[in-house]
Amino acid sequence: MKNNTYQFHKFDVRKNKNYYQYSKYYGLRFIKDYFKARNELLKNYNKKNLFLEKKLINTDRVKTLCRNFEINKKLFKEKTNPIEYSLEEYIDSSYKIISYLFFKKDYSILSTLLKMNDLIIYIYNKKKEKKKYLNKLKKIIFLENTIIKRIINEQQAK
Amino acid sequence: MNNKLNNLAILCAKNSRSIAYLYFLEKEKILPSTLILIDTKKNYQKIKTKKNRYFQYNLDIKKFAIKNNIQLITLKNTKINDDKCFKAIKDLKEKYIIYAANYGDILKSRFFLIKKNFIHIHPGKLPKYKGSTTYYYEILNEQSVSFSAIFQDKKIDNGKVIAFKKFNLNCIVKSELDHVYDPYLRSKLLIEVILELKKKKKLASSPQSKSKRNIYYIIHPLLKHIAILAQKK
Repeated sequence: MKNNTYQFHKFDVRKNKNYYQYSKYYGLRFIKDYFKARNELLKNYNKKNLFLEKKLINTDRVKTLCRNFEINKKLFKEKTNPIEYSLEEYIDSSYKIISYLFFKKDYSILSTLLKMNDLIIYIYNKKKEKKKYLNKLKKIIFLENTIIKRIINEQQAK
Repeated sequence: MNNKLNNLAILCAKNSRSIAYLYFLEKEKILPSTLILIDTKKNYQKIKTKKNRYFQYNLDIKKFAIKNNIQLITLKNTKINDDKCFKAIKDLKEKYIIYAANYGDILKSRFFLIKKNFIHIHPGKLPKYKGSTTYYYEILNEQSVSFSAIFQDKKIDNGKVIAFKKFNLNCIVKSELDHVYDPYLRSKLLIEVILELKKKKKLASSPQSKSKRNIYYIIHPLLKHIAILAQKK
């Protein structure tokens, strides 16, 4: 059996800032492997009552959040307080970005979201107490999945 | 016949961009009179120049300079912003310098105070596509690939625009963009710019408009795959 080519959630991007540079091309298999890797987290996910609130979106806030994440490869609570976000805060930020992307197509922001979610899954997998994060995590991964499926369809990627 | 431009130098490293530039400059008989080679070992495992049908992928830069009688300045174990490199560039008699240094190297502001014009070929139409891996974003947004020739200034991708060229996606193997088409397409635009320099002895440029100044970061591999596999017309 071939190994899954999607490995970006298995390494700590915070320790290797060039992690995504010159990534290898695997063809369509890579996209299938991405879904396979993400779907592992979505087992038994109940998507009932899933809705996005447009009022959550603050465009400037989302853009600043993404820029900060791209520059530092992590997020801090405040400028003057160099304490990194907790897993819960990362998930909440991811949800804000997703809410933005549901109403506005922006590949730059989407690229950052995918990186952030890779990191979120990495941090989640390292946690001993996973249960309390699982529902929120499933929600963002399901929504990310929905956006990606829409993009693949639009771009006719095959 | 002297094919060299007295007012032109090139700042090179051992990378595919430098190799492609030199290959096409020689082919078009518009060689620089000085070649500065930053000969630094870096981890280029992921970005090895691939054998291809467009340019000689294994061109030896030092032998190239000797063969073409180009003044060669080799800077060993030097970073772009080191004093040694700065002095070498400052002392050049040439006013125009083609920039093809190591990936990720960014010139510090003092380089822009020495009355040299650094010609850089940026992937993406400026000012719309600033930053990194912009051709993948451009494919997703516009189903095209463009390059801009600029004079570098102290802000990244902010310099005056010399020329712009849009390429037809049908002529490109998208899966080979990073290793083959990036240096090849950059070279195509560079040649047009240097031919213009040869003809007019100087290069005209215009400032970038202040609107639509997006900055793109390295594209996530999933979006890169979608861009490569996209069939949208």
